[in-house]
Amino acid sequence: MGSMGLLYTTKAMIIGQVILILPVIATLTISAVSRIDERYRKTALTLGANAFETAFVIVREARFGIIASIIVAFGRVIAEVGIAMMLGGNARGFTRTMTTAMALEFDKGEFTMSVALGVVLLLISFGVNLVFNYFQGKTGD
Amino acid sequence: MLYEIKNLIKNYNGRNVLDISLSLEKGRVLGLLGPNGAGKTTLLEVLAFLLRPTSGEIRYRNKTVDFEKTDLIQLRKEAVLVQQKPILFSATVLNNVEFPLKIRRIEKKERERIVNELLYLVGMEKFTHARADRLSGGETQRVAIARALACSPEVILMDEPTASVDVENQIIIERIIREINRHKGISVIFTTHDMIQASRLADDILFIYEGRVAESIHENIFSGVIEKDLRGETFFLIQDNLKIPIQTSKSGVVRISIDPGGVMISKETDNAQGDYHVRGRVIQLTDEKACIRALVDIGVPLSIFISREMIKDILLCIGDEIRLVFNPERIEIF
Repeated sequence: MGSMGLLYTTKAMIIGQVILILPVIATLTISAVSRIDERYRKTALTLGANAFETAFVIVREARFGIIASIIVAFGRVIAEVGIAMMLGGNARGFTRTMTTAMALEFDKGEFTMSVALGVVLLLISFGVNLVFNYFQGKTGD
Repeated sequence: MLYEIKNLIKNYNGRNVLDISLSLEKGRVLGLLGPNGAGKTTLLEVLAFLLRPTSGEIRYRNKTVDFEKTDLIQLRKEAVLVQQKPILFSATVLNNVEFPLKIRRIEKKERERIVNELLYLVGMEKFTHARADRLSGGETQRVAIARALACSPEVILMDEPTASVDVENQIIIERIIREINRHKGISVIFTTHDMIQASRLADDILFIYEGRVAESIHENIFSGVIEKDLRGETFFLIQDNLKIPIQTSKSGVVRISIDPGGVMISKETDNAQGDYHVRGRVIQLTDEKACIRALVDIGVPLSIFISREMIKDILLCIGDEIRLVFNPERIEIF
């Protein structure tokens, strides 16, 4: 990363996080898609769909499982501190995230600030999960 | 000619589940009759170009189909399969019927017109905006037929279209099959276990057994055990209490097929003695072309043929108790 001029940049953080969550999303998505009834594929094909349209039908039917994998991945990434610290460097106003800020405040002995940031992070994560679940429930109905 | 199939073989795990030759003219209704596992569904999937045969030749509209080179997507647009338990996409009824039209890039106004027309045809126009996954089995089947018709197919393939629906929906589905064949000129191939339904609907009937076209009707298929009684006579035992005399050297669990024309009957009041008989109650009488088909409850439903003269002679009515004498030579053992 250093030789490519990416170290301590937001790009490096994004690349690191993507590598971290890709297996999680891939595994959960494959699991969701493979659970879809074979009849969906055959139905799409017999109605004249091509390979892309058939894949779209299957992804659409597996959408709840795919959204669930995104929620899991989001929870994993938003709470991540190691990659953000190592690849981002925790530079103020540049690569500082809530988790690295929490770690810094903790190291400084500012426990109140650290816990406050933790509570805010929890609320954001909880809020995003609520929104996802709301839409998932609504479309599932 | 719509389909011409020569020596078509489909092999699964070293076993030929299909080994068949047949042909179908355009604009006709073909009924495929056969027991479970006969290969009917496999044949429909091959005819719908969804399943590649192991070997053999398929000609569709006088052109040979090469599963490697032919544009199968184009062929699938002409031959649409409605599965035994059709699955609707988790969207509205409208979205489902609209799907084939969307992938054919048909404009929205025209799509709406076609969808409304088709839902009216299958009697589902009140459900246009209903969630498809909340429909009953019969309603699902009707929407699936409308969705298949939206493709404007040359042939519609239906796998046991009335297998899991109530009588009301069965009547509606049979009406739809007749209408799409007569008024739209669409060829129909359907599978069924019901000989009476096949006679009602089909112009031609094919009996399929163990993946092949069978010459005789394999009806009244039962699973059971061959046993010998104290007198040394061989019986086929169904459900532990129903004994049917047969001639075989086989033993253990087998399947038999009783020829509907190989059963003699007499009224329960007659003092018929001698031959071993089974008692039963007539629960249905149907007019067939050459004779009368009677469905008799002998513990299991048994379909038999009775001549018109016999019916008149013994004044047979629904609900009558009768004696049945089986001809062991007319019982086939598998």
